[in-house]
Amino acid sequence: MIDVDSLIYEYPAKRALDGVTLGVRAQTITAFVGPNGAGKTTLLRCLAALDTPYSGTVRIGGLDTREAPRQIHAQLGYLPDFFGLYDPLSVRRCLIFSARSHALAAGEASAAAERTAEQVGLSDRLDVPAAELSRGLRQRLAIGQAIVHTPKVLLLDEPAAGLDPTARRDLSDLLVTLKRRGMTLVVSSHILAELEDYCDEMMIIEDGRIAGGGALKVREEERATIRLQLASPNDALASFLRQQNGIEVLDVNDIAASFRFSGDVSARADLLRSLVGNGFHVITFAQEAQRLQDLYFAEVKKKGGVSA
Amino acid sequence: MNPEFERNLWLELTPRRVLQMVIVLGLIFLTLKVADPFDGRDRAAEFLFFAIVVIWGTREAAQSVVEEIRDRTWDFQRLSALTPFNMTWGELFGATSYIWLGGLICLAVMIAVQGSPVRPLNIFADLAIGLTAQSAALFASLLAVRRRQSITRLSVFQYQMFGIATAAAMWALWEPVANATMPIGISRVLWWNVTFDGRPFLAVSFALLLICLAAGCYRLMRLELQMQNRPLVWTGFIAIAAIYAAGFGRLPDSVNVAIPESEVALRLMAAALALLVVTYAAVLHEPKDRVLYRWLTEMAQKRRWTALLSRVQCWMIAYAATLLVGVFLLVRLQMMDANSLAHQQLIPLTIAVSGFLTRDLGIILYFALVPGQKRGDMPAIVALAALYGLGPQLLRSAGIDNPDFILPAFTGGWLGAAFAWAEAIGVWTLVFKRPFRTGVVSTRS
Repeated sequence: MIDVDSLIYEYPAKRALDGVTLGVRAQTITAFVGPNGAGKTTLLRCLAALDTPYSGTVRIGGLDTREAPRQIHAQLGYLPDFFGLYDPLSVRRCLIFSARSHALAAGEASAAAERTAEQVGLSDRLDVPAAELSRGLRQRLAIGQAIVHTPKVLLLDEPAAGLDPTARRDLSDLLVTLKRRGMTLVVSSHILAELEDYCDEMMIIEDGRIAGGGALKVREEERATIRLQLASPNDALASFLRQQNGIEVLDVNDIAASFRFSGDVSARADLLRSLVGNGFHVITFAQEAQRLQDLYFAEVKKKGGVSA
Repeated sequence: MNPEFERNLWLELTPRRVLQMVIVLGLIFLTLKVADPFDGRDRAAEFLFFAIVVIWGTREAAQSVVEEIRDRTWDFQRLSALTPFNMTWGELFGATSYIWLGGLICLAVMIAVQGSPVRPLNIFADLAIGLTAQSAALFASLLAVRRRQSITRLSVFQYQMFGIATAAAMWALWEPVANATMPIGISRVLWWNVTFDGRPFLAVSFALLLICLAAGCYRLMRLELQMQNRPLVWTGFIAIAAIYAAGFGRLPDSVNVAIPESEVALRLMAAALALLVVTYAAVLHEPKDRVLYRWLTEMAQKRRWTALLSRVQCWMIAYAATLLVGVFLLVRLQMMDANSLAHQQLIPLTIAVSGFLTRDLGIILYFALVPGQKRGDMPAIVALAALYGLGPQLLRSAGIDNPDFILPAFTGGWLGAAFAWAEAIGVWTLVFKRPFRTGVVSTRS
């Protein structure tokens, strides 16, 4: 969905992006992480066709940002790190304007505004002026403005900044829902913990480059890491798992296991049914994300140490 | 409806504000009717029209985009699917919609009080002056946005003043012609050897200016929305400016001038003068982007002319056009009598003017490309003022009796031409030594 090739972006006395090449698959959530000043925001702005790179190409859904910036803007949602709202306008009007400015007809825009308000948890405040919203609610409204036209690609720069824990959880749920509905999301952050819940891949940006040269897998739907826990020990667990097709055991003992499983969700359901059918008292059977922090520092370690 | 216009209407035309405007203006006109036995309401309405539409309206127009940048809503706008045309007129007419409510009330009072016959050209001129002033203010603010200048109250005031100055200039041209207070002959215009009545000629000229400013806003908006501007439209604009100015290249027969004898040469001089002004205005107002110049240099080195032309700046095209017209002028002057004063003075003067222009452009770029420069073009303007203002005085105090060669003067002669180009070459050598071509430091240690 997003293809970047040899991207260079220069400020008058500094090269902010230095030959970035990356690809983002459709219907995934990719995180750009890295220290402040690494080039995350500049990269996001180049992806959003808001800034013109010195050289290199950015293609969104096959369209070049230089050749077709407005077509790209039409199918993009973007939440900047520092954003503003039209304070005197109500939530409803903010959302309707955003929808209308993304080419939705007047009738559609009204329905889209109500649907989006529901998604971001603002449906009870549709007629409240934006100026009267709290910081967290303003963040939700800004996200609502970015998704009201159901863009194909959603770029979010520090989306959880200023949100309370409940709002962060809601945001995480919303992003996963949007992904399931077909959206491709790129999220920039330097707070790893907030990305762990929802991102599939992570790219470490440092000194204007992708550290390690590419994306690190955080969560693989097609080869998921499953965490299994039993209510009581069972010596047969290891041998049972090793006999199953598509399983690569990572860690196992008589009460818990961690393994990679190649199979879709129905195959996963079959495996769980089989475990229960064979007398294993399963209390946990869940897909496990790799800890982003571990991935990040492992990558940093490979490079010979970088201050985090 | 254009969503951008609609959004502005939501913000500007709230029922309370509309009511306030109607009540306040109604009270003013009622008071005037009661208090003024001679009924000067038409002049009062005209005064109020200009106060509201020009003074207040230019502020609203100047603030429209600037306020969005300050309030951090501009990135959302830039990422919308709105066309630059819709964005431009949505901003221009939307941000000033409340102003126009007041302006149109005043205009209606003017027409009602004047009675018949209604003078449509006067009404057109009033509307054109208001719209042009607002377009000029928006244009100035968009230029500043392109330069990524910091936005302060003072800078908004500057854009507003540009709009007000435009309106004042138009008014100064219109008022004497409209009221026929000037002597007959001056209220008529000789343009391309055709005599026009002053009022319709000015009205058409105002319309042309308004179209050019609106087109300028549209072109700047395209750039803001990340679209590329091909050089053709700007080239067309400077051609129109040159042709318009050249139309005045023949003075009325009643005015006795000796040089140059050629009408063609006079027209070329008028065109060159217009292009000169456009070049200076463009170079002072366009962003002097070191990264862009680095990129253009690289494209030139790689001989990628199409890519280069896609991002060439307006001042560069205007400069090339000025030089081209200068060459035509030289050719025409060369064809004239070798003993004529025009031949002896105008040829070296034309060469000198082109040299001084080249030098000045170099000076403006030299100061703009200083790393970390945050004072805009002010150092270059000070340097130019010193060269043109203090230079001759210094040379005189150093014992040089005729320092005209350091100015674009008739009496500068060939020494002036040689001096101008020697300075130009020197300044441009310094410009190319500026680190804009090699100054990039990779962040990678």
